[in-house]
Amino acid sequence: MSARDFIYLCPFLVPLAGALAVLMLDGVNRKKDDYWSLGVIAFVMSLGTGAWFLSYGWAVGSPVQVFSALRLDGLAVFAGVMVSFCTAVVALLCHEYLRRENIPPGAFYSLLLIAAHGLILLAACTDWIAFFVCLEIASVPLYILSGVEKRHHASREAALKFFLLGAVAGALVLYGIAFIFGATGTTAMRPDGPLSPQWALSPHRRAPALAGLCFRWAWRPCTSGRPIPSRVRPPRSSPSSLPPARWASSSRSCACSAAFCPAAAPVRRFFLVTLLYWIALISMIFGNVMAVVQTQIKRISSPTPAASRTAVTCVAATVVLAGRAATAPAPPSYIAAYCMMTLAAFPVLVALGRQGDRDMAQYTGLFERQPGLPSFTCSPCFP
Amino acid sequence: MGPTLDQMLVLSAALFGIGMIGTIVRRSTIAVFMSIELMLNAANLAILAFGRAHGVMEGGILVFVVMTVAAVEVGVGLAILVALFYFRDSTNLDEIDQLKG
Repeated sequence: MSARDFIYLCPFLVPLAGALAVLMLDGVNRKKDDYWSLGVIAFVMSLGTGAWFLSYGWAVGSPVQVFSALRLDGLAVFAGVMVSFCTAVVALLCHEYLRRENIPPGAFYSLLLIAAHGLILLAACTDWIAFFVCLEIASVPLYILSGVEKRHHASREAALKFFLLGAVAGALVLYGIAFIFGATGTTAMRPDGPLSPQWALSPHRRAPALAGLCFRWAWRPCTSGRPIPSRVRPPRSSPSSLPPARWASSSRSCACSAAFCPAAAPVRRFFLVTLLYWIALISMIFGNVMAVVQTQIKRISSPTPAASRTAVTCVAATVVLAGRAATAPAPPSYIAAYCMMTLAAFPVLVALGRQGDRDMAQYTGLFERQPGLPSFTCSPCFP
Repeated sequence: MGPTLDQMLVLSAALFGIGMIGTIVRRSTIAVFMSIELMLNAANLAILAFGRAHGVMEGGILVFVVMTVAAVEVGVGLAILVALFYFRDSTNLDEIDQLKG
């Protein structure tokens, strides 16, 4: 723990400071409908966070480990800039909406900033404990924000359903983390050490770790392949030389690396690659067929992303398992293009939604009517 | 001589399965909340078992954090449920169907 760590930690804390400032100002302000000043605070804090991360992106070349749970690397800077600027835009644009729906601005802006704080931290985590905490820091304000429109029953219902699904997903993630912790013996996301034969020979123990690694691969593609200096440990003794009762202490090695190490059995690897290949293929076909037969935008938007994520995760694992390092950048590139296209599609849907378009049939001939909107959606693919 | 790692993992898996089934099958929101808590506690049990087997403290710390976060989450969830109950007068998930479609 040094002063340098605190300096690098500062941009992560700016949204939280903004949320506290909004809450304090909302508490002391006699005008309870002072949307403008609170919005300006949220906007300035978000913009400042984005600018700070942007300056780090230019100034700091190599990844920096902040304490032992965060890592300021390319993905963290990208997520920080992206989330901060999106939060700033939301803070700027929702002023009239809050006034119209009579939503308390202090609660709204502070929850918005806390959620942004959690999302920024989430992208920088290198420890499973921090990962889970940041996930909840981001999720809990979003549960409340879903139900912030007190007058509308749909808003409360959305909040409850979002909460239930989020809580179940959180429990599943935690169970996966438990098995990764069991496989590695540490809560660090990048453990090291020799390979344990017990873990290498038990596929049922390797599977959760593989899922965890795929999950991480999908989320943090920019940091793969780089060692973390603070996590480097001295080499350990061979697990076979230890007594059986202490097998667990010798299995601090990574079950993830057990799945991908050259010593893994080729036959088992072949079956794993084939299985993942078929899962990717079936999920892609299923998701696209489900999307094609839908007639409403809100229905088409659910199966396609789910299928795409499953397929990309399986393809990523397949590429790594097959040992084709040259094709490894393909899945992260696809994820980046997919995210950019999704982000670009939302303004188009919002713009069309204001005109009352809901059914897919009403989008027929959209390119002829408004050529700019579909072009805008596809524009992120060109770079 | 306490329970072995395998015994604790079997118990954890059983609890997690019961929680998952309860989440899917039960219609009362309160029962679903309880099932989710059961799933979280099953994960906690697995973490503690692995932490004990490895002889490290990180498992205990993770469980402590998870329990705190779960308490916060349940508080928020119950607040949402109370807000919903105030207007609906029911906690049956089948009746909360305005967003269906």
